[in-house]
Amino acid sequence: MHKLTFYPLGSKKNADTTQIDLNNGKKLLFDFAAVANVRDADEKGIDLPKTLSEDLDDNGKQGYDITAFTHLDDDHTRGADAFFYFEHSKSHQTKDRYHFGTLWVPANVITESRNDLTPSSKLIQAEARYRLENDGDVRVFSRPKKLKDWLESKGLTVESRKHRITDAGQLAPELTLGQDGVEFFVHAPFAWRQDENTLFDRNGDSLVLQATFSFNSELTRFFIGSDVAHGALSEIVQISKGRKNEVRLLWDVMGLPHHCSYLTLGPDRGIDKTEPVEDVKWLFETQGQDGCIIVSSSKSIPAKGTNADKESQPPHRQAANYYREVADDKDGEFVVTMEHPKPSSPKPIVIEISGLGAKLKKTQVVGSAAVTASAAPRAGSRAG
Amino acid sequence: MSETTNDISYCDVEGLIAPSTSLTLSRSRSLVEAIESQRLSFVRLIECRRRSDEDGKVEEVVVFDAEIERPQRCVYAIRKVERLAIVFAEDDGWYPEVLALRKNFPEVPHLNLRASELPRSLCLYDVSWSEVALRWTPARFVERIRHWLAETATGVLHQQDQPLEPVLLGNGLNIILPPDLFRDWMDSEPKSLQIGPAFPGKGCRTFATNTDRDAGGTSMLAVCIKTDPRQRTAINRQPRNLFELDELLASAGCNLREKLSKALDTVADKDRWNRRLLIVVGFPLIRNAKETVEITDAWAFLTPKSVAEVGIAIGLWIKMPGGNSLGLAISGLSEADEVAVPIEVISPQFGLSRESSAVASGVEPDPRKTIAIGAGALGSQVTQLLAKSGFGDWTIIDSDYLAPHNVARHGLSPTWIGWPKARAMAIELSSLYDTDPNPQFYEGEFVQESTHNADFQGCVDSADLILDMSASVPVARHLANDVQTSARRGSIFLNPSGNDLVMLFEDDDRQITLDCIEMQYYRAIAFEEGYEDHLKRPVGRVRYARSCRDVSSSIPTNLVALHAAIAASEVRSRIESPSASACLWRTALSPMNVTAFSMELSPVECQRIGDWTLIVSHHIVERLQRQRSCKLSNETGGVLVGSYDLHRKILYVVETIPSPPDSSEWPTLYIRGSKGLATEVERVGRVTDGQLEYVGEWHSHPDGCPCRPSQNDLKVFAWLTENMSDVGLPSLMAIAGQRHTEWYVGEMLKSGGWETANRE
Repeated sequence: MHKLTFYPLGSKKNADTTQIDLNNGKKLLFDFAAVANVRDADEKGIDLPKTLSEDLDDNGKQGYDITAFTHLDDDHTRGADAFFYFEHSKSHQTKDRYHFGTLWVPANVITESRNDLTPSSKLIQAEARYRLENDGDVRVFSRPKKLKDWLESKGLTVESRKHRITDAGQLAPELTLGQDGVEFFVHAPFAWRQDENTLFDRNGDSLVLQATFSFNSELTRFFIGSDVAHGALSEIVQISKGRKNEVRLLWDVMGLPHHCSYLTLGPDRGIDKTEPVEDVKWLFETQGQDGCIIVSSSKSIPAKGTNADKESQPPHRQAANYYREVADDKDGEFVVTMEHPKPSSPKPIVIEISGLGAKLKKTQVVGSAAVTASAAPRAGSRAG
Repeated sequence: MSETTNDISYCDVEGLIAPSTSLTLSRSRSLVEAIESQRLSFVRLIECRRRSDEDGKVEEVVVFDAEIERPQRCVYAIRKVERLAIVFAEDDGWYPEVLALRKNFPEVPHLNLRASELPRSLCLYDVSWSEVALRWTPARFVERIRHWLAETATGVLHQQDQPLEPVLLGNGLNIILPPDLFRDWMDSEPKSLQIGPAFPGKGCRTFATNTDRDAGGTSMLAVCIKTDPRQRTAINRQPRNLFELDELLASAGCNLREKLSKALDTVADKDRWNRRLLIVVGFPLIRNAKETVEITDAWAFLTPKSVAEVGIAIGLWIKMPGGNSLGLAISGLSEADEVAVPIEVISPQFGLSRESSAVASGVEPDPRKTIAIGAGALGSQVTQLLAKSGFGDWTIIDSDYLAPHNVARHGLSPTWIGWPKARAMAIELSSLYDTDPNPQFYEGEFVQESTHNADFQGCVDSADLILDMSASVPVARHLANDVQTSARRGSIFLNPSGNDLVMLFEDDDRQITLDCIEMQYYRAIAFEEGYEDHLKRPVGRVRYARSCRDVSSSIPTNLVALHAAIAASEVRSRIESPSASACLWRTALSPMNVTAFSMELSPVECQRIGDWTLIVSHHIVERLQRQRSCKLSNETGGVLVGSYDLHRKILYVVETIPSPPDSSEWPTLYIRGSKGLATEVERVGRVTDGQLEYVGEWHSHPDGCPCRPSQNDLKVFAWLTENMSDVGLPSLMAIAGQRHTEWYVGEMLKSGGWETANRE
């Protein structure tokens, strides 16, 4: 069977890291955000580099088959500079580093010139550019023409790099249903046709994909939302409907965009529940399947009236209430990375995908299983 | 309590609500504490209740919700959250009962059978409560329940390799039915069956049955019915009367009333009307829709009512005026009342059959015609073990009777003391399971019977396999040389100390016969390392006879059993392979350890030379050639080791003792020396218990020189013949030449001269 893992990353900072283990042994990683301060006693997020390196080592792998960065925000890249092997940078090639495999990035990672990039984001950008320029192992999700200027600045043509570029509405060619039991359909970044003549590239769009898994001839779909907001999400719905591609918006597992932010749903937060705009409502309520699982990669959902509840930053209680309602309606599950199985000791959310669809693992971690899974507290006679 | 949440309604739980702190039973307390502590995820306490059972003993009930791991598409409709009630009893003598309270909780595998269908009771464990109790903790218990529900949701609680689940769970009453019941009795008229308790006295919960009218017990009528094939249980309620059984069978696609009417309609005499009725129902089980029937789960239902009463109750008959006879019911007039026929569910077991015996041993049944020669300690046990695993359509031949001291190591029990072993064995085997025909027996010697008894000869003629377990060399030789049959032949025997088991098996085509295999076995123990004491007689032990295969009186019975077990297992594997084999299993005693040796067998050449049959193995021919080549351009030679069968005039040659060191070896001359030779010949005789001995001489001729005896050779042969004839044996001389080896066998003739006979 296939396996999705959503890591509980931080008590104090939202972040995203999702791993996909295919039945054929291939490993994919979506974003890398080691935001937990492991020296902080109140931190319940995991030590991500340690967790991932143990998993890779246990499986005898030197890295991932594919590593995707949905965009370059800090909460999707932090710590990558110390974990990965960067082909473009001699100083980031020590033996203890892990390989990206094929690097998946949206167009902006190549084209945008932000001043606020963190060291990790800068390195990822440099790596993606290096690979594209040198025809290395990279896939850029983009309208090919959008990369024209950048490629020409390097003395290259779009034609010469066409095989490295995949536009919205296409399938990423690295994986196929037949070979790997999964295919990835690209929803964003996309170009929005303003009128018959003008294509308008949405700037700042992150990578949005739908993964379709096959196991025993049964299909299970996973929507990877990254950080997309209701406006772009509505446009994705409109485009898909326009192209009669509704099937590409079906989902059994929803990786919620932007850490359970109300802005994913609509412009108004609401008092107890965020009301989604029409297209987003359709995406959640019509396209979500029975027994679906909605995953919020975020801090714990704040209780009503608490200070956290008043903050502008996600997760938003009102959005969570909407998601819970959707899940209950479909006899499904709404789970939050920092709350599963319990807020006092979150563990990675594991979803198994078999011929019976998606299944949220509910593993009891008590007794020796709990003790042996972590280091023991300090023992010894020394006071203090 | 009756609660509805999201259109889910739950069964009521009896008892008074009790605060969790007021619980007194240690298991219920610890469970509630574990749930309330919030150390456990996925569980939420609903309430606790307390009540008394029928005997006034306290029962405490803990009700909680558990979140269940389940896929999007469940095989059985398990909800994300299930409400469970755990009933703990004061005496703690049984599993706490786990009830799924949801009213529409599905019918799933592994439910306990209760008087009422709801709430359903989960069968969590397949080991005894005393075993579970040793490791019971609240957390493990909760996880066992959650795991049970999660596995049920994905349909894997019932593993593929697990046997299919019986349709009904029993109440502890058993009945042992004839093994061929479903094959022979189905849809036929009711059969008479004698039914009685398996043993006398109180506490017997098992009924034995017998088709023999004289067997004692109560005479009943049995009706057999089969339902349509079904996947898993759909019945979680125990039928209490004929009406409920009718309903139960209707759900399995079977019309009980119709089938019963048809069967009882054939009963027309008063004697049988008055008997009690036993209904046997077969539920053919399949694993999934595409597969064939894997097993037929059988259940028996016993009524206290007579056949006549049941016939009336199902509306087949009416009581005629006067009450002494029955008439066919006309519709509308029947007094049908199935509820009035109480039934008792009895779990049937079937008597052993060849097939079920084989299944019990995890092997295939094998009905090949097998003759066991010898029913001694080893033979009886090997035969019984094979028969118990569904092997063999047996004929036993043995001339001995069972003496008291035999019982210590014999397969037969002391009840048979004084009986001929063959007859007792045949009776024992026939009581194991029904075979057609019954095991045969011959009370006599194999050599005699196979020569003079036409009946037995016919038996030998049609046999597939003949196992010589007689521990007798003459029997083995007779079997190898004098018996005409296409049966596969093998010898199985113990060495004198009982530490070693020997199995010699011919190949399918008889390219190498049992006697030749026997010779090569002797060669191996005489010339290969480690077997020196194989045929050594234990010091101070009493023997019955002088043959090397005689079992001495003090072989430990456990060694006989151990080796019988090995032999029984090996017989099956030997006959799988078409090749000949000679194997030895050696048991070290302290610590006990069995090592197997497989002896290499060499093809043999058979030549008629005069009156004699000379049998030479490829091994010895190659040895002579190799020694000749080594010594070229000189001649060399040595003595030949083998054995005589003077009765059949067969001369076996198996080995050579190389040229003694004091021999003279010249290009055209060889004088065999004698240093160490007598000692070596003596050793070979001792190690093989006299079975191998000196049989002749050989020497080589140089390249280009024919294998014809030279003048000198003829002198040697004369000398040899003279000496051998003194003890009544023929002389043998071999000449190994460049291309082949020539053999000469000679006998002193009465005239005082001699003549040679060679194969030309």
